This record gives sequence, structure tokens and C-alpha cells, in this order.
Amino acid sequence: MDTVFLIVALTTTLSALSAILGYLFMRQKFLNELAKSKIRQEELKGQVYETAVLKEIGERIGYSLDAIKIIEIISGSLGSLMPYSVISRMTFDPKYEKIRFDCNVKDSVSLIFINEIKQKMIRSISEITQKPFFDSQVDESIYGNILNEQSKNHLGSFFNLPFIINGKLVGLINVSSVLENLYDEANTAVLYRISKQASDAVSKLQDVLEAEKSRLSQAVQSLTDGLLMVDRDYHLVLVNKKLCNMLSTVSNPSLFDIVNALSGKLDLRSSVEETIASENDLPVKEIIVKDKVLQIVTSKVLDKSTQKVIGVIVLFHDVTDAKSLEKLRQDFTSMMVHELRSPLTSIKSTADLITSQMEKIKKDEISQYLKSINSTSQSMLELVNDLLDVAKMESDKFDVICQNGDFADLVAERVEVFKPQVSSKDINLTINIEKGLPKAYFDVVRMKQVFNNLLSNAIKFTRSGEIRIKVETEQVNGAAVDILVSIADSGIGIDPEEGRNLFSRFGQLVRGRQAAAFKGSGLGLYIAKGIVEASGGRIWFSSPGAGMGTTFYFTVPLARETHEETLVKAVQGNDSLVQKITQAPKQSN
Amino acid sequence: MENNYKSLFSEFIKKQMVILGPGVALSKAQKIRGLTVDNQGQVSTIISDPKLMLKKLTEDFMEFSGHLARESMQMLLSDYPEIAKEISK
Repeated sequence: MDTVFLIVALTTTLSALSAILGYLFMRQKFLNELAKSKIRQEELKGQVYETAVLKEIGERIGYSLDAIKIIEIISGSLGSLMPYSVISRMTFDPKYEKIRFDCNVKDSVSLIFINEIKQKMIRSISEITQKPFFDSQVDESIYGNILNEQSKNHLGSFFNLPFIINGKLVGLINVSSVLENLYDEANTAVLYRISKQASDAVSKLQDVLEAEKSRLSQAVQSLTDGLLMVDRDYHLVLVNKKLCNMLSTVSNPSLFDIVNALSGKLDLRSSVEETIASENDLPVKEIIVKDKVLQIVTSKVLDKSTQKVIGVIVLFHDVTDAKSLEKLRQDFTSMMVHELRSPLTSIKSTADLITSQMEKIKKDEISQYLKSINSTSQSMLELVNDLLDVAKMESDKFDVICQNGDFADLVAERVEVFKPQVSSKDINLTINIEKGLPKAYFDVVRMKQVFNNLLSNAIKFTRSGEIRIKVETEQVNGAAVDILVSIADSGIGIDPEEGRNLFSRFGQLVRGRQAAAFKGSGLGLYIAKGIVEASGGRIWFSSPGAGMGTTFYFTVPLARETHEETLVKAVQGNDSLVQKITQAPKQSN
Repeated sequence: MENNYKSLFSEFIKKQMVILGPGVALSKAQKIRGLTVDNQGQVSTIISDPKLMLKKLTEDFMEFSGHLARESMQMLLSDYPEIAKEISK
């Protein structure tokens, strides 16, 4: 009986015990779940807060670099996240000379409390920047709840949130409470995360803007025009290297240096003010500085969003060369008019004479007059042909019709034509044509024109002395690549300055003036260059200087078959030759 | 050498206490396994490899103060040339 009772009691006790244990287990499990849920809730709250703050920063800041605004947003949002008595922030000017201390008081605290915060923040900033800061540098602004000087509360707990952009401290947020041990790593982590993300974003944006700024600066520096920009307050914002060169200022000039260099030529300040005041673009001004003709163009720089004027750009465009060219063009036109008018006048006078004196003039005299008209009109025709050739070249309509031929024959025939002219002067003409000269590929009519021009020039600019004509194959590594023609004279020579533009359209204008006794359009070399290059050759000259004679050279491609054979041979011999052959003809002097 | 590490770590934590505030810096430091840190920021024991602890300490604080933590540590290391030499190996 006792045994049965004992078993029943034991069973009952065990059941009760297991029920209690079960209850305790379930309770613990419930508590654990509750704790986990609370942590999850806290995490969720943190995430929601983080998202909301970052969203607000994104919306309010956009693509600006206003770090102070970010600090304001973060400090203004803290109320919903954690308990505090005072939220403060310190921000700086770029040189850390002044500190702005803004203090938002929530709980009524004393000024001593605020001062404690200020000291903690100053210590933090000094530690971060490794630079001492003092109360005297701080401009403070306290707002929110009224301070209570009777309050005995001291700083119970606080934490600082530094805000750093590209390694530079731009602000510090402080959260303080009268309560002790309120802030730790866990409940502040979200704020440090936000601060880090925002500062990373601004740093990256700043990097992008710096890169853009650098690209823009490089673009401005590489401009062929001089450029400067001033802001509304007439402060120099940028100036490029080209302008420094134009005005011969130091490499990093102040506005004063630039104004000084423009003194008496341009009133920069007035130009800037006029540009700002004017609704339309100002007319382009032209000034002469350091022997350069500069066109000045000013334009307003507007703020993209407000469309308000934020500065003025002044562009200095060097038109010296264009002006010189324009003068050359005018001189050329005058010369052409003169060149055409003189023979026309001569033809008209002769025709008038024949008409009015027809009965009195003898027959042989009429024949002489007609020869004179014929010769003069021939000169005019040549002049007009030159002008037509130039017009064709400039409109890319100049064609050469090349075929295989004997260039030696062309030279020999031309020399015969010029012999009377040579013999009328004290000039010794020698011709040296290589024996077995290979055939060439050229336009007979046009090449005659080139040869005529060079030989007639040589005769024209040589009072006495010699002219040497040489025709030979040009060889590279023993292989003939083309035919080289040279016409050397002991005439007036060409000085380097004149030689620079000799093959240009107006290049012979000066030279033509020097040889005023000789008629001509002065376009001969320009046309010769066009013909030689269109035929696949090169043309150049050499002259030791004025009075020391000149040698003109030009090349003519070898006849097609010969040319191809030579090319193959040359390619086998030397790879670099292929480049030489396929290269565009180059001018050399 | 271990004392040097303790001293370096303590100085670092105290600097972070000034920069971030004592509550945050201490709770962060005291959470690092392998370090015993008292409430003044003094490190009394380093259980793990001190070189690894130095890296861990710096990295953990970088989560809060970014490059400031790294700079702080680098600056302090100039006063501990032996440690600087050891970690550079």
C-alpha cells in the first residue's frame, strides 16, 4: 500500500515538476522571443531612421557640397531617435579661424551645462585637427528651451559625431544629456553610419567636381585665345596661360597685373560693368597690345538656376595674322588690278591710235602695233590663267592628267625656249641630265608650267652669274624612287623670313615687289606647288640667304611600271622606304 | 613589448574618448574580444596577438571615426617605433 502511495506521490510530484519546468521553459522562450523582437524592433527603427535621414539629405542637398546643411539635417533629426537634453553643432570657416557653435536646448539646463558641452567639443576638435582652439574663436547661438540658471544638472553623458569631407573636419555634432551613461556604441552606431555615408557621398561628389574642374581648367588653359573671368565683385576667378603670354604678364597674374598690362588700351572694369548692365552682347572691341591686334569679346556668366549674373568672361582673340592676311589680300587685289589695267590701257591706246591714225600709219607700223597688242594680251591671258588655276586649286577642282613620258625631253625642249632670254643676260646656263633617266609619270602641260615658272624665276632674279639645271633619279638605299629636278641660280637669294611663306598664295608678293621690273601674278610658286603635289611629287627650295642664290627642287614620280617595280625592290630592301613612298609629299626648305 | 602595446592601445582609446565621447568610445573598446579595458580607457590585458589586436582596434574605431582612427593610430605609432617596426614586417 505504502509502495503504491509512494509511486502515486512520486508520479504526481514529477508531473507537477515537469509542468513547472515546462512553464519555466515556455516563459523563458517567450522572454527570449520578446527580447529578440525588441532588438529587431530597435534595429528596424534604426534602419527606418537611417533611410529617412539619408533620403532627407539626398532631397535637400542634391548635388551640392553643402556639408553644413548635412550637419544641420542630421542634428535636426536626432530627436526622433534618442533621448537628449541639448543637441549642439560646431562648424568652421575654411581656415578654421572661427567656430560657429549652435546649441539647441531641449531640457531646461544651465549655462554651466552649455559651457561644459562647448569645452568637450573644443577638446574634440583640437584633438582631431591637432590644433588648439579657444573660447575666443567661438561665436555661439543658443536657442530652444529657456536656460535655467537654478539648474544643478551637470553633463551626465554625451557623444560627438565628427563630419569629415575628404579628410578634412567640416563640423562636429554633440548630443548631451543630464542623465548618466545614456549613450553607447550600440545606440549611436546608426548615426555614425549615416555620418560616414553622407560624408563619403559628399567626398565622392567633391572628387567628381574637382575632376571636372580640373578638366575645365585644362580646357581653358589649352585655349588658343586668351581668357579671364571675374565675378560680380570684380574679383579674378580664372585666367589662362595664353592671356599671360599675350599680355606678357607673370604666369599667375593678379587682376592688377592684367589691368596694368591693358592700361590705356582697355578699361577692363568698365567693360565688365557694361557687360553686366547690358541686356544684349556688347560689340566686339579691337585693341593693339604688344604689337598684337586683339579682339575683345565679353559675355555674362549666369547662374543656372537663378539666371542671375555671377560673373563675366572676357575673351582675347588674336587677329594679328588675319589682319596681315587681309592686308596682303588687299595688296594682292590692288596689284592684280594694276597688272590687268596696265596692258589693257596699252592695248586700248594702241587700238585708239590705229583707229584715229589709220590713214596716216604705214602698213609695217600697223603690223608692229598688232604684234604689241598680241604680246600684251598674251601676258594678260597668262595672268588670267594663273588666277583661274588658283581658283581651281582653292575649290579642289584642279586636275592633272598624268601619263608615262620622258621628262628629259620636256626639260631639253623648255631650255631651248628659254635660251634667248638667258643669252640676253650675262648668265651661264648648264644642263645636266642623267644618262638613261627612267621614264616619269606626269602631266606634260602642267609640268611644263612648273618648269617654266622655276626657270623663268631663276632668270628673272639673276642679273648675272649662272643657272644650273640637273635632272637625276632620286635613290634611297640604291633604289630609284623618283626623278629629282633642281634649278640652281646665283641670283638674289631668299632670306629665311621671306622663305617661310614662299609657296603660299600671297607669298611672292614681297619678292615680286623687290623685282618690280618683272611682270607676273606672283602666284607661280603657289601654282607650281599645287601641280607638283597633285602629281605625287614634292617641291622645296634652299637658299643660303639674301644675295646668295637659290636652288629649287621638285620630284616627279617614276613611270607607272618602273615605279611599281622600284617600289617592290625598295620594300624588299628597306621597310622604312614604304613609308617614304606612301607618305604625303612634304615641303622642305 | 606587451606593455608598450598596452600603453599604445590605452592612449589610442583615450584619444577616441576625447574625440567621440567616453560612453561611445569605451563601449566600443570594451566590446573588442581579447582586450580588457577599464572605465578610464586603460588597457590592462591583451589576450590575443597584439599585432592583430592593433589592427582590430583601429578598424573597429574606423567604423565610427573613419580615417581619424587610422591617423590617430599612425600618429601614436611614431612614439612607439618598436611596434611600428614590428607591424611593418
